[in-house]
Amino acid sequence: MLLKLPIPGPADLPIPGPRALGRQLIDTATSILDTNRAGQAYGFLAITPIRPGQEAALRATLAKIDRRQTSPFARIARTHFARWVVLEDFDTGADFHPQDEDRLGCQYLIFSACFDGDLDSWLDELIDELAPEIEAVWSHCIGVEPTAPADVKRYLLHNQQDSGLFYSAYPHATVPEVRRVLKAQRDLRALAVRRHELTPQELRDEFLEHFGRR
Amino acid sequence: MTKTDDARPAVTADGTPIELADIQGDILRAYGNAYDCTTYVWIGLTGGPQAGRDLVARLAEEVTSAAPWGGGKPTHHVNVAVTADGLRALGVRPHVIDSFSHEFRQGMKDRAERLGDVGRNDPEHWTTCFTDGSAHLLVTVNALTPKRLDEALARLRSVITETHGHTIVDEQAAKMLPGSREHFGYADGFAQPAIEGVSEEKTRGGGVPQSSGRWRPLALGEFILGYPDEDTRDDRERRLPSAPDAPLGRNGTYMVWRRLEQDVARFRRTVSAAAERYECGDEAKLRAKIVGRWDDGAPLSHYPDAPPEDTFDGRIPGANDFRFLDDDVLGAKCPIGAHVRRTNPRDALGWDGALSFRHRIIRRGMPYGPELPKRATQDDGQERGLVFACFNASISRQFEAIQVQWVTDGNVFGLGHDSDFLMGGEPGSGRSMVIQGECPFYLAPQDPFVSTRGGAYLFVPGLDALRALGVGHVS
Amino acid sequence: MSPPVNAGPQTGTGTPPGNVNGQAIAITVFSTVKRWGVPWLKALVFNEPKLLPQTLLWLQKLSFIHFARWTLVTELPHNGAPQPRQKLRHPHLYFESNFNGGWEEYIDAFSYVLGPGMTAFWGSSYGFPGPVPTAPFKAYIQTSDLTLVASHFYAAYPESTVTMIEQSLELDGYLDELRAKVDKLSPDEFVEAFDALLAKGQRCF
Repeated sequence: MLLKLPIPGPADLPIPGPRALGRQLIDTATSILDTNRAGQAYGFLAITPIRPGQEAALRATLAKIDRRQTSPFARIARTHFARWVVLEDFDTGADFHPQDEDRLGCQYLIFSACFDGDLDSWLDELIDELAPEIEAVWSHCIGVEPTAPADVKRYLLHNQQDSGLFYSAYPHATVPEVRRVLKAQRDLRALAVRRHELTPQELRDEFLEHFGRR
Repeated sequence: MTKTDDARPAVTADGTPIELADIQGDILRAYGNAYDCTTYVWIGLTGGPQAGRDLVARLAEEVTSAAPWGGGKPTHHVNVAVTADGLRALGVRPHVIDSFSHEFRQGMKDRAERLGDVGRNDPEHWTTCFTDGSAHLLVTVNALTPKRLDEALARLRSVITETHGHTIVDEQAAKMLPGSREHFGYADGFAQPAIEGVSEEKTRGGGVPQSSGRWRPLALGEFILGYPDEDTRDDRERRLPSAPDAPLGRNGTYMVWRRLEQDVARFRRTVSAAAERYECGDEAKLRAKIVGRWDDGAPLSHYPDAPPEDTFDGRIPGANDFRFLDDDVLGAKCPIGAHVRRTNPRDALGWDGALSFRHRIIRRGMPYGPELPKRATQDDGQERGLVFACFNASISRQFEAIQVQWVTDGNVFGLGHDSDFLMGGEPGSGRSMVIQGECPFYLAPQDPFVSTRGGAYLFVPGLDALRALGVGHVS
Repeated sequence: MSPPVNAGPQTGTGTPPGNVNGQAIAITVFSTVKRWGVPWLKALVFNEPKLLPQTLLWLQKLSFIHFARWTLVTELPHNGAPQPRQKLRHPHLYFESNFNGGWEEYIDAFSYVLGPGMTAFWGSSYGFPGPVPTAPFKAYIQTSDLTLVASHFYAAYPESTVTMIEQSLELDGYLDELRAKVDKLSPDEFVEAFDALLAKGQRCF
């Protein structure tokens, strides 16, 4: 191994079986072909220039967008995580810079998201579902007509930064699947607690009701 | 320090002398079971800063240090700690106060949400002195007999109120129950950290588990300020961990004090009802599974099926020497969420202990309130519980990490958001517990049986520091 | 004037509230990379985990991170006026991760456990002090000047941790086995199979 890494603790490192090994090989191949992929997940990153003078207005716009389950990204069911971050400058005044640190000529907006499936269709969904937010946010940026879907897509792709490495802890689980298994875990736990209160017939009926058959 | 015969000077691993005569007593070594009459006296410095400093100077003369006692057992011990509000009330200069840790300056009340002190545990249900800023000094008196305690307290009260014009804002008597039990009926206080140069005899089971199978003691700086800790012990530049400005940082430490009410009747009812459905054993075993030790303290890791025939003695070498990953990864002996496996995970989190060895505390808890009669399952309306007291060099890294990540949450153990079945979690959150094994048992969700009734973050100065506070050197 | 990047009160954990959504925390960091870092990162660090997937097992085992991304930014595309033409003299390493809360309590463990990995990724960045002793390292990764605050952070399942998701996925596999045969089982046989499922999945709750 190239890097000297600590040996993980609980001595139960999985030894991949043939199926897992096959999947690993496919993962390896896809992530070498496209560094923005991890399994079926895609990591998108675009950095776009903010119009000088409109930084505060952009921040105010972003602050007004709901965060939790009412975030506009919740409208695209296959989005795991997404964020907007304002980058003011590289030189932040700390001691962590070369003497001739780069200074940004304007501030930039970082837009990143992790989602299921391919980029092309996700961008289409984004432009479709988040039209009001896209207009509100990117109207403060240089070089895009935020009401023209094709232009927004071209713009985001033009300013995309490819990942060097994209990591996912569960590269094969889609958002609906994550939600489904989390719910199954909760339901099974609740059923386990009540197991002794139920007759065999009742237990079986409840199981079918929650988890169905395959 | 209880050992009067030990004449060797104590030193840390790198040969630094441990200044026992400047460190307050009861921190590194408990005064011992003989001193089982304790009262915690909380003082509000209503007499003003000068009278506050005078009181501190007076108390400094009485404080017991960690140095070996000369001849015989003293009848009682006095120890002093101060809150951040107390430092302000003493007129300590702001820039000196700023050198104390952030969480200490903020205080326990303002960190309630983080600590899980919400709902039933919310500070609005605490004794007011812990929420209105009037708890300034804590004087702990430990005595051999109730009579000696009363005498010492009478004198102390008169010094505080009549001589110096201050107010006693809270007084909490505490006493170990027969058999060193706490109110739920468990023998308590076995697992204390093994410290280099101080308590190395506890290293097996009390130190840091090594992958070689050995254990090593912890650096003194994890518990006393002014000494190398686990981070700086190998530092070539011999930097010391951050500490308050001199002379306060030297030989002092931080203390956490919490009054935790226990609902004993409901705990008994809950466990006995659950035991009726528990197929793998009886009520005694279910009680043991919840905590990870049998009632007498014998660890499940050593006695998975039944308690030892003779009463367990935690002082016998090796009594506490167990790990979880050797043969109990799945928690079939000691459940993964058992209280002792959560609060002191030893090797359970893997990575050679890297996730746990910097989160150790020295515990000095003591039960308060009358014992609920044996077999009673209905509440008698009397308040009872535990005064939880612990010492650590960093409240956030040590006490808070245990409270927040290990007691109130279960994620790092692979237990989702389950909290400690006995203590943790916000009321109404309905946490349950899985008892792993051949026939896994799923305890029904319960409100916690323990509620916070008050508490504070304190600083325990060394004796020199206490005198400096008394004469106003830092004011 | 726009407000400073790091405005806003700190939460109890010291993480700015803008970067928190439920249990999930967003980290966004730019560091400036020394020139030798470009071939090092591109040729070796970024590629090695792809060729040897077990290299990232330590990250997987630690189970804090949902998604993470490292990107070397060497140019910022031009979009016409009034964007100034931006020529970058230095390469900049962009890192973002979506992870569980609790990392502040385990920040020491990061030095011990993730230290070697972090050195691989950030050893070529200006200011990186090395993972031990932990104090300067903690100061480095906690330096608010380096960590950007998100103006919007969305998490689809904010109350769930990585471990919970991985356990649920594993449990679902066991559930599936029972789903497949439930119709063939009598109620009594079902209870037996259900208990077997609980025994098999007991570490997944």
